Amino acid sequence: MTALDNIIDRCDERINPIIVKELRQVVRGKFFWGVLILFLGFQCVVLSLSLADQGSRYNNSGQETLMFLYGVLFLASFAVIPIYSGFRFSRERNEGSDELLFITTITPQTIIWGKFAAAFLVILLINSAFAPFMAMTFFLSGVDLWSTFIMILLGLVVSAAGTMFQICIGSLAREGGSMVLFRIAGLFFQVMMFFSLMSISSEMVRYGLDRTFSSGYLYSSIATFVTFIVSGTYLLYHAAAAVVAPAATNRMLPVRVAATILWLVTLLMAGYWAVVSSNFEVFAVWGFMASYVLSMACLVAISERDFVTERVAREIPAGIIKGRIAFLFFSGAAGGLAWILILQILTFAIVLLVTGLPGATAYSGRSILSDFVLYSGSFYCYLLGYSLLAAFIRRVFVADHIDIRNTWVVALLTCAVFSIVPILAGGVMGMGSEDLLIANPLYVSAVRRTDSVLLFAASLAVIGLVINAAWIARQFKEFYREMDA
Amino acid sequence: MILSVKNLCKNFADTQAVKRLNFQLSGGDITGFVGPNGAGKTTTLRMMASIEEPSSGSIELDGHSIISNPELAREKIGFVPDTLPTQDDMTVFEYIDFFARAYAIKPARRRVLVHDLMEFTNLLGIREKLLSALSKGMKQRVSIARSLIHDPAFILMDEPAAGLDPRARIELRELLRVLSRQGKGILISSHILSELSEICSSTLIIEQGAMLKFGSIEEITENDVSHRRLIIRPLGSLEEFSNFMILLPGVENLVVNGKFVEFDFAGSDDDAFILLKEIVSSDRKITEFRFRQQNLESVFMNITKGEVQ
Repeated sequence: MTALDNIIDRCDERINPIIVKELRQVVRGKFFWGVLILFLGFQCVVLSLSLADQGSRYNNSGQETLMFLYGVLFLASFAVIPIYSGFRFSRERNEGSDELLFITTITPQTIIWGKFAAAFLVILLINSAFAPFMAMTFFLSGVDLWSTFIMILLGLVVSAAGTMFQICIGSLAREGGSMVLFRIAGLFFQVMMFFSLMSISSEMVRYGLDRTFSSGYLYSSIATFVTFIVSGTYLLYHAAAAVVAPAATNRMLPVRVAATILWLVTLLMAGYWAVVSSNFEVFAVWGFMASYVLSMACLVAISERDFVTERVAREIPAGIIKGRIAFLFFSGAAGGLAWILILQILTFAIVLLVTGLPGATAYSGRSILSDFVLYSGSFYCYLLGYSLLAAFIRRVFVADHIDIRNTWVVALLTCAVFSIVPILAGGVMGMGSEDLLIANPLYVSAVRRTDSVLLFAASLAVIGLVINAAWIARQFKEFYREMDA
Repeated sequence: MILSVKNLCKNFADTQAVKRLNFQLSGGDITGFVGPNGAGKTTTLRMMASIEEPSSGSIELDGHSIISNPELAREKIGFVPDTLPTQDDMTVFEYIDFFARAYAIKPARRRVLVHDLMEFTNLLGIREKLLSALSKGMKQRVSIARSLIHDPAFILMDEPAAGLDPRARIELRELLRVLSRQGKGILISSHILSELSEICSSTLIIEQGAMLKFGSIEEITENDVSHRRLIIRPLGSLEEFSNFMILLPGVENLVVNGKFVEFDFAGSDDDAFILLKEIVSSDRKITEFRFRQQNLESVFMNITKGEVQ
């Protein structure tokens, strides 16, 4: 065996098997070659027509040509390849062929990373094939090469995020009905994002980078944007791996760690921008976003299993402090709810703290804190209340028919019933009061009596906690018993 | 090496799919896993392969739990599911090579292993064929080759003979015999009982998730004495002999079959001896008196009711 063979073998050993498999399949498939040839054909035709048009050198048609070429590239990179990758993955999940991988040494993270990396390599390949055509637009007028370069780089970053998003959707799409539902939702989101990002890209080409991002903060803005996208992609990566992982494993640990990192990173970014721009509203924006996402996470938490599996028990660290922290991060419904509660409290405390700073007490004539408490607080209480009600209903009435992993569906149905029934009843009885909207978490801004909204939401959460107190306490005790064991 | 299953249970919502299963497998044994559709065979195999987690009970490999240490199962157990490989756009070589990579086998060893395994399972001739172009039998071979890639001590097979033509079945049987000779323990679920009784050293019969019988084929067939069929060849009038026999205790469902009189005999060997003595003492002449050989099929039909949960 030569030294070269040794090096090749060593590289071969380190390559993720999923990447090898996926690339072999993609290269063999007609789809990849079809997309490449079709889109390259488009590029050739459009560029040839633009170059042939002599008049184009004396106006800004270079920008139009570039945007058209970029549109085609972005369609392939952000929409076609990610959606195709997600679709392939959901089909594999539906066939159950990924199951056999779990009796090998491959981890769920390896699977998701392999799928993502293979799709991203294809995107890179397509970008490489398209780049020379786009560079040619420089010979037409009105094109700024630097903006084009940054635009392609940012395009690659968002394409990576789009790919991970579609893979995440693909991992969810396990069974018939839900598969169709998730695929449609994923498709809709990707198409919506495609047009939004295309309009931003168009802005960048037309007005230059400085005017698109805040003047003077170009690189900070790009760094913030990229950091946010990368952190979000990292969270999606762990979320997809958690969905794919066997139910008995400690699959929520990486997700909660990643979500906590994302929470911290976005907090740091908010802090940076608050200091740089001397504007504390940034914290309020961050607080709203963090709180809303955490509130939605209640639906995930109550759909987790409510007992400690052998595999989870095996991983509980020794020591009281480590064990208590592990309860928050390890798989389990009560642990998930406690983790959300702690992050919510921290989010509220940070917003409360910064609104106490000089010059940060008011915006647009209203108190940041009161708005934050009203909207974020009530939304969290609503979600927590409905989630806990659903956990109770499922456990007590339909445990034999609905698996715990589908508790989120019961929560959404409970929310829908609480939101719709009062309106229908009001209609029948001839009542038209806005109070009938009070059980709907989305109508908080439409109801004028905000104090009653908060009171209702808080009552809902308290009732949920009371009726589930024994269930939550049992999980605490069981976890600590395993910890001691 | 011993793979033992103790009080294994699995519940799906209100259905108890597997109820307190207890059995053990040893290296070199081929054990048939028999039961009506929906009896819990696939669920049991999936739990043993560490794909599903049991609701309670334990599965141990030489005393080590594979429920809390699924890595053990991955290392020592190969699993052939009831579905065939679905990666239609991969070649046979790519599919097996992929799983060799998935088991983190070093490149140099992987190349030799994949080649040897394809030779062993007779796949070398079709190594570059796409899986979509293969017959069911060939796909099953690919599936078995995949399950052997990490040289497991036990192989769990879920209906590997389903849908195979007679030739492919015979080839599969030979392959199992070779694997058994290599010291691998095999648990094979199948509906083709005649084939199982030919290759299996022991059998596990379950229904509605519960174990009905477990033991060697001889033990199972011999122990099932409640419904043995006796065959007698009398000399003289068959009608007169039948009329005499039908009045004797323990004789049911009597029929005349050619020169023989056959009936179900609900009694022990001692009871059969008393019956024979009674025939002889009544001066009736017989030239044959024997029990019909019980086979797995008849035992299975006798002890199962064909009910699912």
